[in-house]
Amino acid sequence: MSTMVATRPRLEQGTTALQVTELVKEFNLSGLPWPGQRKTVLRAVGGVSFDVPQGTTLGLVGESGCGKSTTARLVAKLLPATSGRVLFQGEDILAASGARMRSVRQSIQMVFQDPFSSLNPRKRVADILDRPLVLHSGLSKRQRLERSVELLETVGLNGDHMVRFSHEMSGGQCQRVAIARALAPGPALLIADEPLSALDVSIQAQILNLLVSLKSQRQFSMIFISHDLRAVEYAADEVAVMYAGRIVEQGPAVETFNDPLHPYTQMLRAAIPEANPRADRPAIRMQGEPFTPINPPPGCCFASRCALATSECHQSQPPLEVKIPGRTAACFKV
Amino acid sequence: MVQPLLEVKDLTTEFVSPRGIVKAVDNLSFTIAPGETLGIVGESGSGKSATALSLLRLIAPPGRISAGTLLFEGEDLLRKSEREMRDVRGKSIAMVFQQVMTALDPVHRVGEQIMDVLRVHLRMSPQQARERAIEILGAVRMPSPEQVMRRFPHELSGGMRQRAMIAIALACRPKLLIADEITTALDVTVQAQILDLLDDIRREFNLAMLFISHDLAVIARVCDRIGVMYAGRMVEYTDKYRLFETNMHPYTNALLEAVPRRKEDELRPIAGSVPELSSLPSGCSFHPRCSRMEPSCTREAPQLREWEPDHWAACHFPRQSVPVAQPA
Repeated sequence: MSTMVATRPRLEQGTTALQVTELVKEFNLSGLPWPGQRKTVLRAVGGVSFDVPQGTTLGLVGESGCGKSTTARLVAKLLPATSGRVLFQGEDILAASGARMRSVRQSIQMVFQDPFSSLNPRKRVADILDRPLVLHSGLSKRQRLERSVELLETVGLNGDHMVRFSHEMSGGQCQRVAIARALAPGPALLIADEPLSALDVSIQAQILNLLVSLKSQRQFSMIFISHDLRAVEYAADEVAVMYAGRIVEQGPAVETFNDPLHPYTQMLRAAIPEANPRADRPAIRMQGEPFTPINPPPGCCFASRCALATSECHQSQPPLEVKIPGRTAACFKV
Repeated sequence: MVQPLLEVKDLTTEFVSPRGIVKAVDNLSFTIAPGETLGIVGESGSGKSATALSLLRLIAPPGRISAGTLLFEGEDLLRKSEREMRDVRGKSIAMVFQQVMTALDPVHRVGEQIMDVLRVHLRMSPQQARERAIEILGAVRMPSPEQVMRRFPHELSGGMRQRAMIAIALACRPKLLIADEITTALDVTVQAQILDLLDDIRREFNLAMLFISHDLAVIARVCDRIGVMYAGRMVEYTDKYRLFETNMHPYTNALLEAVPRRKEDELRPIAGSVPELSSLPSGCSFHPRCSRMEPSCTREAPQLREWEPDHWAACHFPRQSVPVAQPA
């Protein structure tokens, strides 16, 4: 009976779990039409393309408002996209019907930032974990109960936690329950949206290690979203650095952070303080603040903060192109 | 030895809760010299913010400061009347908070908010206050200070709001600035700018600072001396080089190893979670999570002791003079 989860066809290593092409999300901020009012559009995601090969982790990094969470929600189809294409295991899910999406959703699961608000405060852990199993597993009540306890053990909790409410647990424990709930339907893609930011420093490492080890045990693919470059470097194989709704640089995690190509990635890298009192002060002068792409300019959104910018950068959008084999950047000056 | 600007001795702040009396700050002692920055690092519930609020006597019932002395320039703040305290707050000791949007008044312009401080504490005329406010906004590197004077907080970006908060705090040229997690809500590139600004204003204003953060890397960047707090107590207290390079307390060491540095390095999380103050473990509060735990740790709470000159730790088994960075 546990067949539905177990026998769902898994793709071989080397194939693409997720393929995102020219994904765009615009929010209309104009409100009610008013005579003479200018149209105001927030282009939260402005044409983002990436692949997630089966069994790998893509890290999405960037500062607030860069579109990383919106991208995650578009991929999980929690928000309708303005345009673009999301192929999940070869199927265009943006075009899929509501009924079809309900079954696709068991394969795409999310873990959110705030573990308290992502768990229903009026439900016990047993009910929280039972729900996805009722919807997706086809198991009997007894089997579901056993599975729930198994899931808790996989995330480092135990059967004692089944009767708890979210307010009876710490932030780290709640995040573990949220991860167990996401694992319940046996997802092929796990989207973790800032899963560490709400946690204490000593707990962040526990959750980070848990996600990394679960991924290698269960061989799902992962999109790991964070503003913390170090966490992303640790968790991800590939990274995409986002700024103002676009990917400005993409490549293998370690290379991208050790030797960043795009001036924005360089700034981001230099801005992170080191846990070493003898460390040098950043050589790059920081200026400006993250840009909100409301009625974005024709040129590069980073141009106003960039030390290398010339008139060309203000006039046209630099395409994301291969600069070094395996690494891309969207900059005229690299 | 210079006369300390602030000397905190045996400070205890407790809150009455349904589950009994909870000590948010337990027997805390530290000093800050003029122009010096002390960093306090700890996780949630470690008592960092309660310490900051205690210094300004801003602990509201059901909380109270139950013991200790707070000597500021040789005078005990705990013996001052409420009227005298009002003169200390904002004038001699100023504070900047994490939640800028709630700390700034949303219905008053930034300029008015800076001028208010100057008019109340220094009895300046509106004209004088205005000139001084513009000058201070310049000192915090605010772009176009005259225009910002007329702005409301919601019209400013996150980084500019934090600059405005710092301007209000610096308006009366205080001797001590308390900064409670002031960069936590900011993006890293903006955080880097605010940290640079703090370097500059410390020098320009000869400012002493109590800098509170959960982020050891930020603390390393800003502070001269560092105190590590856990469950309301100071567990290690020394200068920044000793803290990062030859630390003694297992919690300090574990905190440093729990932060990802490079991909090759193994990430070693601290087991368990931060204890509830209402149900602290017996003996040393850290013992259930500690790698060096011995039976005596469960019975007796270690006192903060000076194991080496100017290197204090509250541990029965501190590691002494073993460099952390180079394992044998």
